[in-house]
Amino acid sequence: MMSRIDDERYSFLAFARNHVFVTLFGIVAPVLLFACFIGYPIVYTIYLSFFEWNGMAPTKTFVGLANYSYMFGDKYFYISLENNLKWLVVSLAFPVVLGFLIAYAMRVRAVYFPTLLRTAIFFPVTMSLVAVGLMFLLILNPIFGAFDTVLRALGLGFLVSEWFGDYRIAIYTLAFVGGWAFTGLPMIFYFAGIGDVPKETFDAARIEGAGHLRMMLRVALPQLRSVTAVVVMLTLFESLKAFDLIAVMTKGAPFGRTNVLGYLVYLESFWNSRFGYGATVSVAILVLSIAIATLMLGTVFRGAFDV
Amino acid sequence: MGRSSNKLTRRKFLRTTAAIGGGAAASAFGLNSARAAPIELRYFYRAAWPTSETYANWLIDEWNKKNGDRVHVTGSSVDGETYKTKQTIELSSSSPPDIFYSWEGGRAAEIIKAGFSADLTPYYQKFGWDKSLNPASVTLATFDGKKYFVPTEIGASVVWYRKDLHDKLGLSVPTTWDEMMANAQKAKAAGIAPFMLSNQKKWPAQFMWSAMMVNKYGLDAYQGLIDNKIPWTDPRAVDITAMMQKLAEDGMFIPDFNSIDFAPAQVPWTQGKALYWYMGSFILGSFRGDQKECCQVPTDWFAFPAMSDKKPIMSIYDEDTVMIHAASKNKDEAAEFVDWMVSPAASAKKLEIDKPYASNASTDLSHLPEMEQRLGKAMADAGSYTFMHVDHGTPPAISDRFLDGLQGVLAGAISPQEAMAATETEAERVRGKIKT
Amino acid sequence: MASVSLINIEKRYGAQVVIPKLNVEIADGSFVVLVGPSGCGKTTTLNMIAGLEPITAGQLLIGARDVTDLPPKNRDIAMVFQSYALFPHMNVFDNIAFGMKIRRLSRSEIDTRVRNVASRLRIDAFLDRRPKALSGGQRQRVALARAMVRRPGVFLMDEPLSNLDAKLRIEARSFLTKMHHEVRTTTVYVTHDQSEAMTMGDTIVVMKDGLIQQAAAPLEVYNEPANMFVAGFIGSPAMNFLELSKADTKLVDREHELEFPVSDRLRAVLDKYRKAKVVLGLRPDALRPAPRNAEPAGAPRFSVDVAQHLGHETLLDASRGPHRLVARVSGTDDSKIGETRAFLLDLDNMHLFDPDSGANLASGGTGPNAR
Repeated sequence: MMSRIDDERYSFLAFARNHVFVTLFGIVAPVLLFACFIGYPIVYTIYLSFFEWNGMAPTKTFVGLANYSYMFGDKYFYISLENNLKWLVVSLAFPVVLGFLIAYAMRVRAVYFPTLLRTAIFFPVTMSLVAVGLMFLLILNPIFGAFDTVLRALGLGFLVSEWFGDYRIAIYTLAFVGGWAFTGLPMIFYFAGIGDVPKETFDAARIEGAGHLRMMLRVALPQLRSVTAVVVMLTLFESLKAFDLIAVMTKGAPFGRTNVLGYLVYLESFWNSRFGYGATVSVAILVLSIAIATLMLGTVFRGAFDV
Repeated sequence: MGRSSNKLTRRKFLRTTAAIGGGAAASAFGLNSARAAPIELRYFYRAAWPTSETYANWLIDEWNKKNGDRVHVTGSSVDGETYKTKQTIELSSSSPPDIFYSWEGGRAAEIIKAGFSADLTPYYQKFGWDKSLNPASVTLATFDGKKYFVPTEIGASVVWYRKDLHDKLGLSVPTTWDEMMANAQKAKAAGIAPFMLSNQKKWPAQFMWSAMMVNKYGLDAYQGLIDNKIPWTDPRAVDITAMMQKLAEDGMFIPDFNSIDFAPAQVPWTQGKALYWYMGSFILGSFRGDQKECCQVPTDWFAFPAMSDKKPIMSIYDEDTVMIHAASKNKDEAAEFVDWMVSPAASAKKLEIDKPYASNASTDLSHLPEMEQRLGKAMADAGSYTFMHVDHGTPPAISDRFLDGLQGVLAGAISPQEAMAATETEAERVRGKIKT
Repeated sequence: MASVSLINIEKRYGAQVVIPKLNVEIADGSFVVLVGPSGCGKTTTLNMIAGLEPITAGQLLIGARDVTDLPPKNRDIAMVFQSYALFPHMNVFDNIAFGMKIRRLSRSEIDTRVRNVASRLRIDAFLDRRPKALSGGQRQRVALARAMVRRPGVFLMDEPLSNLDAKLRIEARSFLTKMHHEVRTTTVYVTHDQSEAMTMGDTIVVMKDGLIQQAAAPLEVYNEPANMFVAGFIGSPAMNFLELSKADTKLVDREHELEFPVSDRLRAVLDKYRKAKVVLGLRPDALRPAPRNAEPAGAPRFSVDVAQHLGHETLLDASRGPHRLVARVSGTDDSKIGETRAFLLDLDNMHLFDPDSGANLASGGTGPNAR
């Protein structure tokens, strides 16, 4: 038996001859697809980041690390980076926590019409962010927006703000809108995850006297570490990718304070015709994603995927 | 097909399908299939408004009805915002469009520099466009003595005002900045915002900025900024920015102006919440709404008033223009189609289903409301000398920084000096430092 | 420590009645086993006592306190689950201390108590291990420790031994019994295993379809089953049932030449019985083959189908006509398969049941089929 395994390991060609179908569709095709649609763009983006190119000229000018040194002195880059981090914090605090709470509430049957609720919360996930953005432009509109009207009707008129116009809060407004559209995803993940947690552990905790808060924090969450790790990773990538809402709702306004890295790439590449610099910012996003993900998996989520 | 049996075998099915396909392809070449196949032209345009799409379809259909068997035009469009990114991709593709939408100013310059745009000077002579088109619009099509685009729609920026509010407050049309400000104070006292501003997407505030710059310090000073001869940190530019800041601080603009987008701004305007609105003539499309004729509320206009002893200058610019691709194999036929676009017949139709104004100077405006006719005449009479707003005049990178800065100033977040310094920094990156 | 009273307890899911009306009195300090086949309502009943399932109607008293609508934590109970329900992310110490931490006991108090109970249950060496690193038996004891450490009035145990292998199960059985004798905490124990019920309980409550069939001491349930269901459920191998006809002082099946005499006690019962058909219940150990050379005349004869040799005893599966039975005989028995043998009966170990209601004719109780 041992020798057979060794044999197969060392003769991929023999394996391929014996399993043509598996080799073709299970190995060759995925590798090719990955190389074409993920590998090549990444490599090309990195390549492009060493050039200056307006997207139209037939030639690209090699500029070495100039784009990178420009980036480290670019105020817009830092604002965007900061905004991405704010976005990430809001996304972790609002949709992820809310999604977990709703999932938990549905699992312990603390809500009415759980199926309806689940559908309603998940629906925005399937919506295009462009549509979400246009919708919230209307809802948060200072002239006839429903949100301000509701606030005033509830006697909370003092909370009414310039949701997009005030440079101090605009990025949070956008992040919350993004969170609204995103909540369904962590909710579904957690809903499925809590379903996999042995029900007896909840029963045991209840009998031992745990309330809902303790059950969530001390019983459910620790047993959902792998789900949380997936959700946090998704949130991380989602918030680093944030683009659509900014493009639809503010275009970086007021005065660049709602720029995020994703929008900066678009702005520099297509608006300012600096494809090289756009690629440089893309590389920064890539590096940042990998770095934060690695850091998280190595620290807070260490061992989260161990079985 | 009729003679074959009802049993449809696989082979028969394929044969039939091929026959239908072939027939369809053949019929696309018209009835006179004996003649040579027509020349195919592709027109790639920007449909910024729903009416733009309607009008473009009409243009193409009419052309194909008359000339389809000789020169057949196919249109393809994207919306206003997407066009900015799609344009580059289309133009540099291996089969680029023959005729395409272009912007004037900085963006046009980039396209020309990249070599996508054919020199249209010979066609200007052949079709007499420099005589038939609005002279100001033609000036803008000229780069280093050559003409590279053909304006199809022109625009002017003026101060739109609510006639009824003017009457109610007993105001008269101002001819100087001071008179306008006095009116503004009265409106403010009556609880009406003096100026509409819908600056959420940051481009509208520049209209007033450039008009003030031109009318206070003269066209030369403004053009110096646009043409990279004067740095943005020039005290005059800072001063105009500070004036804008003062207007905002004094509550001269409608509240929440940085949160209001262009389209929703029609609501408070229609409700009479603001007295004046300095904006381009393309706004007439919005003023018209779904009515046949302008406007939903009593509206009139006056030219931006004088701010010094200098004669006020109205901003006239090319709203829509077309270029012919340098790589087109059928430039002559493309030029023919362009000539149809700027013909009196097409121009008249444009006024009817799209928005004013057609670039053809002899377009019949008589069925427009008096107010719109008056503006059309003013544009025709303006001569050839005029100016573009900052986002048309400068490359996008500079104008974007400028718009960000101006919005920041109006929000009270940064100083006019900081805004202009940020613009200059970006301008230096694009065009280098200005040697003084 | 506390007594538990279930008074007219009902459980319905919508229109479906799971438990019609349940009355059980559990004395303070006793060990009561709820036993029955799966779906009989025993776990539901336990969950209702625990407060994990709401009670549809009726009243639940624990220590004379009405706890019908109280949440689990206010019922003074602790529970051991079949799957142990240990928290996988906590070590043994924290698992045991969980409930006390919630009740905000002092750190030193918690420490003392955890170490105490751990040493009693012989898990003190694993306090810093995660449940994953423990054997099944150890996990079971951790679950027990978690229940014991709070010193509740009532222990609820839901099939706590069924995840253990056979050998461990028998060990744990006596261990649990021993623990109960030491701490004397009222215990309600749910199992589907009749041997657990027999060996562990002070009282056995046999349930079927949400109804109590019999509630009594183990030996009483064994010796005087209230009906055919109890008789068949308790005891292994199960009691043999033979449907026979009444003929004076005997039970017969003429067609198959079977004849069973009855004891005097049962004759009196039989005299009062009016129907023609009667079911005879015979425990497997009430039968043994007569020596081949001394077969009494008229003794029932069955042919041996299977002989299961267990060493110290042999189980004979025998049949005659439609009648089938199992006899538990000596390990030295040498019956051949296919051989017909005469069987001797233990007349004092016979039961009579009404074939329609299933009721034990001697006890006069209601049968399982009488609903």
